[in-house]
Amino acid sequence: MSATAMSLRNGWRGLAFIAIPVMAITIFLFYPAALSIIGTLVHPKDGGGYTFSLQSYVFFFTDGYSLANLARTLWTTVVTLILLIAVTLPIALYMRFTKGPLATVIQALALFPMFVPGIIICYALIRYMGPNGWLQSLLSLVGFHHYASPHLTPWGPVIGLMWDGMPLTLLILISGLSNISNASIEAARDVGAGRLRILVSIITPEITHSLLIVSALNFLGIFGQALMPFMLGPTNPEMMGPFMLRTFSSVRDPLQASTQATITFLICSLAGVAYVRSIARRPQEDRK
Amino acid sequence: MSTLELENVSKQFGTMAALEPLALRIADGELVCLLGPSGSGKSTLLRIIGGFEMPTGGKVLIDGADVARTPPEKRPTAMVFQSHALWGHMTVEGNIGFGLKLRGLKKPEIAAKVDAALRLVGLAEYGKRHPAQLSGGQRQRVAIARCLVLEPKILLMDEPFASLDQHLRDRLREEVRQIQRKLGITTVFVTHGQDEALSIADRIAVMSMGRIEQVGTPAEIYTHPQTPFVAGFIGDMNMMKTTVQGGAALIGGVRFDAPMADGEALIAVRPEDVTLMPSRDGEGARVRRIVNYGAVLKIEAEAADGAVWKVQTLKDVPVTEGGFYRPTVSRHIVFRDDRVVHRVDPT
Repeated sequence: MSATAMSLRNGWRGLAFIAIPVMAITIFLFYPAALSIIGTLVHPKDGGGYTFSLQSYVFFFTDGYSLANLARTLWTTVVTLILLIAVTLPIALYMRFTKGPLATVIQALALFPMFVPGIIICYALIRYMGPNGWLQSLLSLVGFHHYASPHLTPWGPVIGLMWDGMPLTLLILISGLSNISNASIEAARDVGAGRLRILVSIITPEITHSLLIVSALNFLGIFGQALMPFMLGPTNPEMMGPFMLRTFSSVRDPLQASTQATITFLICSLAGVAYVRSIARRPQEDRK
Repeated sequence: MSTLELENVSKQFGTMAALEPLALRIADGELVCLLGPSGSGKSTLLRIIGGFEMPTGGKVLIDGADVARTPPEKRPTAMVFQSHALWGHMTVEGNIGFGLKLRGLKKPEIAAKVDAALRLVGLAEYGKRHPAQLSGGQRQRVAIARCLVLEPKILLMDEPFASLDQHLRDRLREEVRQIQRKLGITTVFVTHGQDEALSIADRIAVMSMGRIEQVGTPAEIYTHPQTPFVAGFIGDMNMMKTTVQGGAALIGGVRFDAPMADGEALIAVRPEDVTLMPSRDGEGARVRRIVNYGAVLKIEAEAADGAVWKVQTLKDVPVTEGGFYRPTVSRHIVFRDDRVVHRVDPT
């Protein structure tokens, strides 16, 4: 068999190998998603035929409640993301540059939420930080009686989403930090850099790729969340997840729910594009 | 103009002594190699000089000032790491200029110094590149330039060429030697390669098991090893255990002078100090292997008493495998209790 024929045969085998997952994604994801998006733009006319209309989008962007929900979702996403990185980066740095039993214990604690289902986290947080919860009782014991529970406030979903997102964030950051050699840190110290300078000028630029992945993945996960905001957050304004759910199932307005979903999808796709670009660019940089 | 003195420097990792208390004085502009096998403590000692490890005891004096407790960023030293340790997100210029920036130099001054450093290591055209776009040798030159641009009092090099191929290693070694001589910078160079140490060093400190076994010029270390470890570690050596009786020892049909009390001893003979003279079959030592290295032949010959001679001779000496030869030795050292007790040296 000639090399060309063999190459062609291998090519077809490769295509056959990926055909089933590609078909599954197309049939169960892209097709219904495309139908929903088209359904928000093209509407059936009375008496047959279709008409193109942006009416549902006009409604969304002129409706104060919808816009407040979108703003709340963006606020929750950005605040959670910033806090998540602010909390996990020091832990990741500690775990990367410290050896010993304490680092192992911290790692186990930080990764623990990964093995707890979201609904359990929600109930646990309600029992812990909710009104008359354990935290309030503990604070009362030490004489603090002015506890204001974050449950059902904008901070409720932030805390829950941080809990939920911490393990994956930590794993990605540790993976990024593990690529920084001890020698490059020592070389920076050797030329006169202090700890803060090393963090700012050496470590942070070296883990930009990991930070970008962490930001993109968490943005996608947080923005579209329904469970945590539903269980822990306020209802007015609310995040897009519970808003879509309520519009679809309680208000029974599938067109507006699809419009909300499309807007959510378009915003998330920006983070998706950043993630894909980051993934695609990395191997090219490595090949340089 | 800087000197480095180590006074009773020791290092303990838990219960393990990585360095026994040791002393070493390195003169201004001198290049000293710390040479030893893995685990001998040479890198630990270098890291102590650089400030990356704190000594358990002792002083590290640079120009008379003790810096043993000073962090690396405040020491007048600069280290070239084995793995280059360049920062991938910075250009070559960025890597070299980073330390100058930290010292608060103005941009034009940084640019001028970086340019000079790049010229010194022969990479004047490579300033805008990133480390990933350079070869291994070029990266190591950048690492050297990054150190030299800071004009440190002491330059530390931790097996800098270990990851390079032999040809490049030889070339860079020469270049580093020339730069070091030109700048007159006091340098400590860690290596486990004896060829590297012998070719580059003004003096060599041979280390073993956390101790400095011997310090001397390459010639001294090679021709006058003070301990059996140094004798066996540097170059090829016939190391033969024997028993001294009546001021002499007999090994493989060769009589060695050993004016000392009767008892066990170790005799060391360099292969090039052994000459093979043709003898009758069954007498002397039988040549069992000849390896041709081009300019020289390396020969293994086994005597009747089981002693195996390693011999090095010029290629045009007529020796054949399976032939019998009588070994004669021009120079030997007798060790007892890890010390030289007798030396026969015609020079």
